Amino acid sequence: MESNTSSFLLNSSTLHSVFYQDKQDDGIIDLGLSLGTVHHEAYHSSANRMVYDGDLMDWPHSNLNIKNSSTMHSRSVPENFDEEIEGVQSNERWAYVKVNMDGVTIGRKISVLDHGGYSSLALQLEDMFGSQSGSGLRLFQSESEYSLFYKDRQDHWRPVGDVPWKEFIECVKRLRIARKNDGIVSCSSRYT
Amino acid sequence: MAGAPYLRKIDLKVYKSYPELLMALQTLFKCTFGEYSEREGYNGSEYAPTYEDKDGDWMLVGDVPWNMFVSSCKRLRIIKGSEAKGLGCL
Repeated sequence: MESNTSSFLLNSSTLHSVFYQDKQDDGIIDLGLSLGTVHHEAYHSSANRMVYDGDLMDWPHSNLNIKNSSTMHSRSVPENFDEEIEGVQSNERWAYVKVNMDGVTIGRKISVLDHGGYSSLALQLEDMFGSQSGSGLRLFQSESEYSLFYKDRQDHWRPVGDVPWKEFIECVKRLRIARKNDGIVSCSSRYT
Repeated sequence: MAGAPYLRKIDLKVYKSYPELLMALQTLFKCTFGEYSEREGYNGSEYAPTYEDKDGDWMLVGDVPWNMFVSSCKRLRIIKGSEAKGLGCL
């Protein structure tokens, strides 16, 4: 088991909150150990399946035991949903972060655990925001007009791709699609 | 709702899912949202449901699991036209 992955799951300081997932069909709880697991009915259809690149995460079978262990932190139904996290809403199955794009008022939310790597993430963002630009986002391409930044757990804005994917999903709190000619993300940015 | 002269209050706990909520909103405000998809947002209408979360950010309704949405939604707003640019609306 990847130590990074397990620490991401079990470390209470890593997870900002835990949300109870209602039981799925027939009382069976899908633990979502597969990267291809559908966890939100409104999102996935076979046509929308993400293409994973070679950098797949490994979700070992032993997570089944961990989920039911008394050592898990607050895995029972949380009484209090009041706290909003400017960052990750997560449990073992998803880790939702906000995505905002310069010039677009309404943000979206994506689960970084849906993806196996940066190319998959870029595909989803292209789907969601590509229509905002005539030539698409083309993130990570040199000719692109846009850059992708993320806010880490120290609240620093960093360019997406600066660390290996497995590190990225543990520390990403928020994403921003910025126009390149706007320069570096300023401290006065709405999203800082 | 954008353009409406007054606010309405609803109890989110009354609804059990997005389809129930969206149907209620469309009835209440006499508008249609179109079909939700993660890729295109609400395609096929000039309106889209958005919400303000506890951080004060405005987000598109439907991206996160229902329970998560209910716990973080502070206010709803139905947007139209240019506000809905790029969210799958006309």
